[in-house]
Amino acid sequence: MSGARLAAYGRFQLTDYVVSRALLPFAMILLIAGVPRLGMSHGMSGDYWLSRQGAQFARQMYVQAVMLFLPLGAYFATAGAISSDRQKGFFRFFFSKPVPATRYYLQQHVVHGLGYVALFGLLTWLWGLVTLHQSLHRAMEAAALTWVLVGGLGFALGALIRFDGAVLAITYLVASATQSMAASPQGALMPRWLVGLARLLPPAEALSATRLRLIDGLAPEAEQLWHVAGYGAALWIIGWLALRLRPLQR
Amino acid sequence: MTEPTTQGRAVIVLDGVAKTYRSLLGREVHAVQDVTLAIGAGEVFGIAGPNGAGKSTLLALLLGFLTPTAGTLAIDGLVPRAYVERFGVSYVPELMALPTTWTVVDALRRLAVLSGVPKDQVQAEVERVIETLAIGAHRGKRLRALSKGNFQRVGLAQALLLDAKVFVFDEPTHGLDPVWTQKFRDMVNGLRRADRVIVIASHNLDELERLADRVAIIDKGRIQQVVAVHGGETTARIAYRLRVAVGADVVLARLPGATLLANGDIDVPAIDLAALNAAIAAAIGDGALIAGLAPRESALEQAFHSAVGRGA
Repeated sequence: MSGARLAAYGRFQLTDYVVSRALLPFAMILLIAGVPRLGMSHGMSGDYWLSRQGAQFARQMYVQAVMLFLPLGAYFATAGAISSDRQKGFFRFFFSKPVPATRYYLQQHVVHGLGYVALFGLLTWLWGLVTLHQSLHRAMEAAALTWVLVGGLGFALGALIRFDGAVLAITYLVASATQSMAASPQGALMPRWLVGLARLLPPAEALSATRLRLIDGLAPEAEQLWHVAGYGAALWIIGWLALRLRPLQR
Repeated sequence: MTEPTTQGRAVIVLDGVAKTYRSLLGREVHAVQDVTLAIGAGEVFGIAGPNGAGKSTLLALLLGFLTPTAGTLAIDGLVPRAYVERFGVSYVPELMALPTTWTVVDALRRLAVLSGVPKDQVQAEVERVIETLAIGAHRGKRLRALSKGNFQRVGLAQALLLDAKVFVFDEPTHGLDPVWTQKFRDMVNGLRRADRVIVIASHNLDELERLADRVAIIDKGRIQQVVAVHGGETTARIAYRLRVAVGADVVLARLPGATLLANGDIDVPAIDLAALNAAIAAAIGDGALIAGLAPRESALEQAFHSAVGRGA
């Protein structure tokens, strides 16, 4: 019975995603990627993008947009999605109704994730209209993988703590920085505890590498793919357990 | 420890319930302590207490938003969270908190869907509660544009979307004007049903006196006393104020301890109803004419003040 209620509520969760969480990254991407494109459009006809130089340029800009949008869009889609209901007291209205909080937030997570993947598909399609066609299928796979990790991290943190947005951003940036350092030739100079920390943190670098391979149409490295997917799934389970076991009011 | 008492079949049962908060430094705050209580079907049960007494914590435990650190709490035999997830509770919290970008009608539609109102009846149900709470003029307004009283009416409206067996109101008339305070009372009387429990937490003793069958007086996290509001008038010792048209001296002679006030009224110290009537009858027999009689405080107020002190 609560499944039907929640399914019916899904359209409101999708509206919330579009209105509160999608418009800002969408506008940012249009501004950051679209304005330079418009500025450079003088003298760049449709034929230009078909040339080797044009294709390379379009590809380079697209990859930059991907690297910017995917983590940022996932951040906007997940930060505060659970914790703000708790902090602002909205949960009192939602969960005095016959609705389990775990199912409500799992559905919200899935709906936001689908919205995020669709939004990135839309951006890729728009990109193709003004420059060169990029594979929608690969773009959406890359977005889905990003959602598994970044969305999973946001889900777990939102269920567990109060300032999940800030902690999510810091964790992801620290993970990215330490893992890229560890993978570089300077990695050998890193103290052991920092290497250990880099290994423990969410696999941001593996995600980045897998994402790029997907966009380039290459098969992802299985080890990296499973690391990202497994880590994301574990975070998701932690979030679910926190919602199930911890009181809604803290 | 308070003995469990109930009017009908016990729906809500608390047994030795406690909630203690512990800070990181190990400091303990006992928000609720050793509460044992049973609330029966068909009952309107009040919870009265000063600020910080533990009323809202008790309600949060009842709704399963918090878990007790000791004791057990059940609604219809289920732990509160399981009960609420399965059947829902019509709840109006003390603090109205909904996303303020939502419009009134949008908020009610969403909460109707979560309440389990069938899809084809959502609009009709939303219209029904909008009409009941007379918020039609505000239906398209964003919640942030509403006055406190109108926001509170939206809170009451959403509680009516669910045909629940348990209603919980936390300071329900907070922010309502006198007209809507009266309408709320009518609403609660309309909600009374043999299989339904209505719990109302309030500072307002007058309100509880008018609505509740029993009132638990809570202070410092403990239930100090449970007062049966109705039917206790004949035995309770209550202080009265008398207005005497003729023969104040005669009345004073018949009521030991009574004092004459500057405006001519007489304050009578706590006395039971039979003794008061006997004294007045005797004074009238001696030639006094009584123009008015009113209790200086109700049995509930008296119990409240004796439990928590006059300063509360």
